[in-house]
Amino acid sequence: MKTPNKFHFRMARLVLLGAPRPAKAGRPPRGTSQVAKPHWLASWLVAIVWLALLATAVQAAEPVPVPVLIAHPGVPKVDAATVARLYTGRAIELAGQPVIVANAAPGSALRQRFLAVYLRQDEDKYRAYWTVRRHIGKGVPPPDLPTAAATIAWVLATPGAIGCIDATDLRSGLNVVARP
Amino acid sequence: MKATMKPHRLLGLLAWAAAAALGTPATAQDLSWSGFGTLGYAQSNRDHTYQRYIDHSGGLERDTVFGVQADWRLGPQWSATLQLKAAPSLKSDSRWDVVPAWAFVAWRPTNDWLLRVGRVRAPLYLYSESMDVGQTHDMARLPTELYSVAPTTDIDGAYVTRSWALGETGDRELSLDAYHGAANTTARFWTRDGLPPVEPAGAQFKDVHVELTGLALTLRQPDLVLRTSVHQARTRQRNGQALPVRFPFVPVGPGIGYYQVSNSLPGPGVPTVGTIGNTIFSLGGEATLGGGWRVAGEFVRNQQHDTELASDTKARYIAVFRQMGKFTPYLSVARLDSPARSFDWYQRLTNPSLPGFIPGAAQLNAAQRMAGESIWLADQHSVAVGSSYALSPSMKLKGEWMRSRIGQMSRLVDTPPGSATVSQQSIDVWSINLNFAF
Repeated sequence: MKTPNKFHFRMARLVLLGAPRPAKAGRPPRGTSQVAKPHWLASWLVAIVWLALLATAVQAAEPVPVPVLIAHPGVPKVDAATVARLYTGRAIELAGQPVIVANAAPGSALRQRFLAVYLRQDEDKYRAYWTVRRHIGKGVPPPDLPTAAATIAWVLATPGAIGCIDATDLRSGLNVVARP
Repeated sequence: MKATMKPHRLLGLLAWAAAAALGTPATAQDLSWSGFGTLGYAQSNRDHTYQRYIDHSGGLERDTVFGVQADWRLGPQWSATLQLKAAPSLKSDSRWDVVPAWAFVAWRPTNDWLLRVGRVRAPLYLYSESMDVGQTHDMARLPTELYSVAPTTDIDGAYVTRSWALGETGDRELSLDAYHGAANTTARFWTRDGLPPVEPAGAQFKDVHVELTGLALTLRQPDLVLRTSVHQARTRQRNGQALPVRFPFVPVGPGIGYYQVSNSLPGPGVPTVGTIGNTIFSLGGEATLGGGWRVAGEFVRNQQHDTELASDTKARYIAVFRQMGKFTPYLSVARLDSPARSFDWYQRLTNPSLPGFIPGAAQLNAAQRMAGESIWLADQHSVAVGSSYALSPSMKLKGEWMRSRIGQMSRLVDTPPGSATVSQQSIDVWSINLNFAF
């Protein structure tokens, strides 16, 4: 994981405040200014590239989501193998109690991390799996919930519900049934 | 072949599904929609038609299909599924129909038991359940030699599945499917010359009723799928006409005579049965070998018990795939054949047995030929090379070149009127199709 360093900030300052101009005395005579243009263009291009790199570095510095499964009160704890069976439709109950699971939003970092940690799959494989399973008449993929707030609200309101949120969205009173 | 469901039966089924909702109010999360489709073009190098639609002028009918599926969650253990499919009609070569391919209510009381009642698909082949959804496999067309063996795959009935999770991680699953059901479907026959003016030449469609009962054992794990199954099919004509067991030979002079193909002709009488039985056995598997390599193969034996004149075939194929990024090229070899006894009957009936100077010989010979053409026969194999290209996780583009070699003859080829039966001939087929599922 990269973190912004002094060089990144120096380059950002370069872009935002402008590159130092050459001294007036050093300017070429009128009519020959086109000679200097490539230098300025190059400076700006370099600055833009470094700004993009800085943005990438800042983005990469965002913490990796920690997918935590929360459940309606009374749902027992589950291991990773059981999570995989629940989210692939091969299990629909825990200890005789019907359960229903929900996914994080498609394409989100949380969902990608969840699939990698618990199911050892990526989004493409997971979708391909459910495309087959749905069309052989063995159920539909878990519903997708857009936010942690929506997931928490759904889990609390739905008996047997299990949902996935980031560990940073945990709050007291939630029934955590699985952690990585 | 595809069965159709009468509207009142379908409505009854859906009403039952609604009743099973147990008063649970439907929400957006309870009902989900999906769809799939294949837009496929196929063209051959021959004037005559192959696999019902493929000829040198090309067309979309052979492989194009569209479907939409609604899945309704009725409660923790109950659900209902309806899949409508638009595809070329089973009752006409020039029409398209929209039919319910799936229409069932499912009850899953525990992790291990699943009961489905309604329109379901029998697990005759390795890819039976998903064979209409081209997005789920890489071949441009599942090998017709094998996937045309059974009289029908869609039935109205009950289907029970018992599953066992295997291994410590539970990613291996063994399942046993048992089902019983029936279908009113249509069988297509091709008569080269017909029997003018009674029967026109060309395609003929006969309504049949098929009862299917079967068991399938399937092992699924991340790198391997294995399935074996056994099925019993009972088939009768819906118009009540009996089916011939064999045709007695009626001599009319030294060394000449005819086969009595109808009780309206003079002769000792045609032995018949009201219903014929077939036993269908299948064995199939798909294994991931590592390094992007994958192999799939199936064998199906369709054995006829009650007549010498109906479908009695063996089919098999093997296909090798190699995934390379978004491309998955493949090579497949398939074969379909019928026993020598069936070909003997075909030769006896289609070769004129009466000399032309005998009054009525032309009509008798034509009637015999039609009877011979009603036997489901095939002697052919195919080699196909193609590739799929994953445009996205839900869309695939596929292309294929296939060479089919027709031996003595094949019911998958329509012999044009007046021509000799197509035999000892190769047919090249080029196919390209776009597949999607969402």
